[in-house]
Amino acid sequence: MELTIDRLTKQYKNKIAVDRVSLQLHEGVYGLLGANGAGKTTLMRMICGILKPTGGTVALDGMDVSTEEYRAQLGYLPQDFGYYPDFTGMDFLLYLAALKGLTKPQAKRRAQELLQLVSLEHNAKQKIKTYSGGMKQRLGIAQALLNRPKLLVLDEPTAGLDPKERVRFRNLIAELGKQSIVLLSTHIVSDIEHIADIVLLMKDGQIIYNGAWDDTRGDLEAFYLKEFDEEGLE
Amino acid sequence: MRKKERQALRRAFAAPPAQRKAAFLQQLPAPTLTSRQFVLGQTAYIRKGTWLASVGLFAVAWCVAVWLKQDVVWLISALFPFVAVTAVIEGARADMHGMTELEMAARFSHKSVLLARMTIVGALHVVLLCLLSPLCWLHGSATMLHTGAYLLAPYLLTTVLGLHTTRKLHGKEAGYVCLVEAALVSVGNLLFRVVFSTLFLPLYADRWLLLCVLLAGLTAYEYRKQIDQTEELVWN
Amino acid sequence: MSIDVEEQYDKIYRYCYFRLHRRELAEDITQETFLRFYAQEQYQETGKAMRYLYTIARNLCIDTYKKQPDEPLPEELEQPDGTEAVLTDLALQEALRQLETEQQELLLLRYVNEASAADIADLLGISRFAVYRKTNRALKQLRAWLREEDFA
Repeated sequence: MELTIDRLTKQYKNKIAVDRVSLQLHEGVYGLLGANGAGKTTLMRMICGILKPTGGTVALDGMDVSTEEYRAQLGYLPQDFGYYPDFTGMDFLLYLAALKGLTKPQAKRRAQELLQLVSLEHNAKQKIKTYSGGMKQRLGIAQALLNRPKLLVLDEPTAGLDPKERVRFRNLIAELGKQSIVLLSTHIVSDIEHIADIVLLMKDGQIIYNGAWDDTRGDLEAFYLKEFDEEGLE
Repeated sequence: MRKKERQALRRAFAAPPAQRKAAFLQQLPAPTLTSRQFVLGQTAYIRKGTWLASVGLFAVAWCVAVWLKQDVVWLISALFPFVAVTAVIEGARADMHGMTELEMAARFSHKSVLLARMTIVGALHVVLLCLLSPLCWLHGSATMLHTGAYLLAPYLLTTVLGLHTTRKLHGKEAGYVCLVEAALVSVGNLLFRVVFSTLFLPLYADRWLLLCVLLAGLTAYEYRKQIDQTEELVWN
Repeated sequence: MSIDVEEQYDKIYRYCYFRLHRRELAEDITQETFLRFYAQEQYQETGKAMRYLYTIARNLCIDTYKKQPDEPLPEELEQPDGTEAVLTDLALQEALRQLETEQQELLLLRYVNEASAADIADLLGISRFAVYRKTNRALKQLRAWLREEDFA
């Protein structure tokens, strides 16, 4: 399985958000690290077919990003998402399951399974507006998995999760990475260190580092800070 | 067969858990929703409010037409903007509530959802229009076609304004603005009728038809733009 | 053509395991069954889907037997998930072993997999009436055996 990104570019009037990025991703967990405005979300949106690139292509095993078949293999968690008012957790999952093409019985089953996986089975019948930030995030993760995606794109997935939830999440991702391509973006260096097989550092629309990160390369956080000249991270 | 027996049999025939089920399922071309099932399924997701509003307004219009027994085309055409706005808001819902990004990444993308829902609601409205026109015509002085045009014009005008608004504005404000637009068109229509009553003589009836055609064209244009917009996240 | 693979996978797997007594092999055959099911275009009626699935599975199992006639079937006394077997379960398993293979198969299909009598009849090539008759007889024998052993 390969996600082929070839010279992907997104140019706005006065700025190049993503600059001729080329990547070949295979099964495993990829951590996309970069400052705000580095182009992470833009890149991810193009990989999800939500944003049209100004140049370049994206294809999964030959399926172009603009096709329905591609989207059928895709699971996406945006940085920020809303929900129809009065939706309960279960309603939300069932609604999105229908959009992902699951039949009703499949949807019900899958929703139950996933709610258990993210420990929301007792909150399934409650309205999402009563959910805490962490709960809503877990629900978001659940919806991304509804169609057993081969390509999972997660934008800041650990935001709002408490330390315990974060550990569970890491284990889940590690498991998923065995059979799917998982691309997650985050500011939290320790997340990357613990679960990413490959680290992708993004700066000013380009990937400046692409490879595994082990201790011989020194402290990832130090490298990150040096590159991005920031005050500090988690 | 008693429950205990069945359970015991289940245990007796139990196999060690299958190891490779998840991987296999992921690979299979899973039987999925057909397009038809999808569209029908979306009917359930159209808010009850939309159905109620459309049908409710229709009921009001019907009663008005039946009781007043006069030329009520104008009163009814004043109601139509509100019918139109329910369709527009239905289409903008995902946007208003921040679901767009999620829907766009799905297999039946946001675009399909929109098309499906707007078609369903649109069909309902066409039916309502067809039912009301004869009734108005019965007591009015214009031909059936012209009656239809008088009813359709404010509907289309509201739709055009609404679609344009939901493209430019996002979030819940868009919904409120659309409602205001509907009210303006409605009131405006009535005022117009009173102030420029000459324009409603049969003499000008054909101009109304022309107006409808024009508005229909604009509506199609706005629809097109809205659908195009669903293919890409335009705002950030 | 809309069978719910997720739901039916376990049933077919359980059936294959019953016939082959080997986990890996049973799962291989299960997956092969579904792949072949999808490969065939003819049957369009969902009503007959389960029937076809079982038939494919059964034939594949029989073919597998033929290929490896000398391998003895391992005795599985331990509960599949490794927990301590309940006393009554052991007795039940022992009792089941006293039945003919066809009788065991019937009980599995009818009461554990909850297949319809019509599907079972088609699969085994007997009449529906025969299915009821044989199933009841199997149950009777089973119960008699359990009572004898005083474990009921």
